[in-house]
Amino acid sequence: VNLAIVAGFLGSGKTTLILSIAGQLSAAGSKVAIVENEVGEIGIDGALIRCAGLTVRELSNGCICCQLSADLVPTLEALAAEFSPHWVIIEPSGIAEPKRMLAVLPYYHGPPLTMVRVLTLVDPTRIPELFEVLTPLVTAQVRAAELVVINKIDLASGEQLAAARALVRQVNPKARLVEVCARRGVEMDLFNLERAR
Amino acid sequence: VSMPALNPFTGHYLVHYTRPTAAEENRRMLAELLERIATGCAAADTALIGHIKAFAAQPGGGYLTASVTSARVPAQVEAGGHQPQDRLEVCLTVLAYGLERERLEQIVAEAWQDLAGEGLMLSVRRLPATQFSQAPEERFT
Repeated sequence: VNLAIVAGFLGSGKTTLILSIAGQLSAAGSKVAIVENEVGEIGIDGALIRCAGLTVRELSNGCICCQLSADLVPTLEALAAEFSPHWVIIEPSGIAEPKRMLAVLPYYHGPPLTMVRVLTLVDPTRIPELFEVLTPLVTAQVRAAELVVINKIDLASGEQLAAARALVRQVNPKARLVEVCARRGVEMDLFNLERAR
Repeated sequence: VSMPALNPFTGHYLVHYTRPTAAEENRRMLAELLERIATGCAAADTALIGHIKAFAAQPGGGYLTASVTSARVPAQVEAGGHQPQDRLEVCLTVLAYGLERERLEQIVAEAWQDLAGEGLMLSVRRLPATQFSQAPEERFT
């Protein structure tokens, strides 16, 4: 089982990106399952993912990195047993810290996780404001990523994109950086995910 | 560094229209709803709008999604498999830092009231959130 955690602050475009990635992985013959986490009582993103015909397990009404962290491992084990996916994509809530999710994975006892990737999405139109108001959270999300995806490039000005790049580089100089408009679809090559199958 | 509190508000509603509505009418209604809520949150001095989003389902399986992250930008709305229907189920979540849930509930109720007074809406009924997990044919009765 390959595992991708698609993190990022609220409204950064995680669900849109996941729909694009999962659709392409499925079209290439991979079995893809999605774990959808929402802080709200109703799984709005889960409903959309089901409309796209994808397999989804929802963890709602709390954050997967804190209140619901005990549910993550059993959910992954149940998915692996029932569905035998090649890929599990986790969409944590926008207030989750990926490092806390990684910390519970050693307790997972399902089929081996052959690869674990952390992607963090960044909205360049909002990131300076987010860093100002929610410094610890946004820093933790960017710092945990091996790949930072600057999304919504169609909505951002040149200055906003340059500022987002600089902030990301400052927080996580080692991460690979890509820029996309997830709404228009993304190319799998950008993420090197299809090679992992 | 302390962060402002986040108190999510989730609402589940059934909208009845005076006639079957086109996709564009539902797009406009959802965009207006979310933009009014975003404006209400900004007027209530939210520390930050995290995300205001909605999923709207039709009896025949069509759906719309809507999202806004600021009172200064228009809501984004997408539709799939939409067919003219006189009912629409709307689930929405409001994540705005520094506002109490009761205040958010009031902002959402006012947004619905404003919309209901202007357009094709016959009624808006709030449903229990748990009802969203039921099969669509049961939810629309």
